[in-house]
Amino acid sequence: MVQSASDLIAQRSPGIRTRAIMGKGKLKGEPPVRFARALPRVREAGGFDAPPLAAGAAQPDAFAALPSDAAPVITAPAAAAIIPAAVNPGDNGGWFLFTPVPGPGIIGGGPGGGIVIVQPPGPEEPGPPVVPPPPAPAVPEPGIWAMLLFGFGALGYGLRRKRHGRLITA
Amino acid sequence: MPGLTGWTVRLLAVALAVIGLTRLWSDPEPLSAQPIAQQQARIVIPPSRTSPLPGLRPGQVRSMLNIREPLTFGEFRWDESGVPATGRILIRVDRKAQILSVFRGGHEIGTTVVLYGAPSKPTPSGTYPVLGKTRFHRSRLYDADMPFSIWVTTDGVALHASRVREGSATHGCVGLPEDFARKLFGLVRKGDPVVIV
Repeated sequence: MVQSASDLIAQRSPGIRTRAIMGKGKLKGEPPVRFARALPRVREAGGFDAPPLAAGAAQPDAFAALPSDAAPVITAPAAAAIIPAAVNPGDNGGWFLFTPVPGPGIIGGGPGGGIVIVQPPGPEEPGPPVVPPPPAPAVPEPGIWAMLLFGFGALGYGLRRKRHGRLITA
Repeated sequence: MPGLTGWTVRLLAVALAVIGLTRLWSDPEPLSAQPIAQQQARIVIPPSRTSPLPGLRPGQVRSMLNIREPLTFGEFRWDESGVPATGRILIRVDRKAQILSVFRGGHEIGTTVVLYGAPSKPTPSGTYPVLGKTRFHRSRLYDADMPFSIWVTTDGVALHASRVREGSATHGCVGLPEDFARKLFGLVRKGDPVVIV
């Protein structure tokens, strides 16, 4: 049977293109992709999940608002809650001493300034009671074993069927 | 645990039963027993005074691959068996059929589904000699890789490897499956004609 070349081309063709979009290039009209920042902006530092602060015991940029004669001392439990979020104290657990220097244009602001001594919790203070999680069973239950084995069997069966089907069509 | 041993034995028995059933259910007939229809690998095109295909002259096609089912996007066929090792290379791109054919000495040795230019950036028709080849090119204009580029026009139209998917189009180039593009890249020489219809 003699086939024309045009017929042969038509038989192998997937058909006429009906719709098409350009797959590459700069897209128009779409907003640029915004990636999450690895570190938050300084402006967003107040948005941390810090617990609500006591009045007067403030964040670093709020020292200027403190009255100079108040000089509040943050107690140890409050400091433990505030400092890790606000100031990054490091892991050494040492003392933190903020001394706003008096003078214009410096964070101390008022005359005399104030001394805020922050002390992390000492070893003598009892921490929150630690509730150990219930121990996990060492061996999965028989039902889990059965499910696992049945799953492997089903996988093997599926793979076998798939491989065999591919061979038939090859 | 005393109960565990009993359960283990039982579950191993279940597993063995599953394996046995899968062997039982699977068809044991081997591949060699499957009757494979031996069909002719290529069709001889008789010489004629008329053009065998749009864009080609009479006598430019002597045989074609015998493919009776539509190729899918990304699929290609390459068969040089029975074709003389030397001969003039001719590439024909049929935009309407989305099919590219490679001929050597008039015998088709390869064919594939191609992508072509979008309506806003059409692939030009005509007969062009191959201007050159670039194995790894990156389009600065479109920020896209163009591996195995076979340059056709001076303004940047090329045959090159692309991700050939249904519904995609190019900026005027002809997109080929990567393996096909690699073969074509090794075959084509500068000056070989490319017919785009």
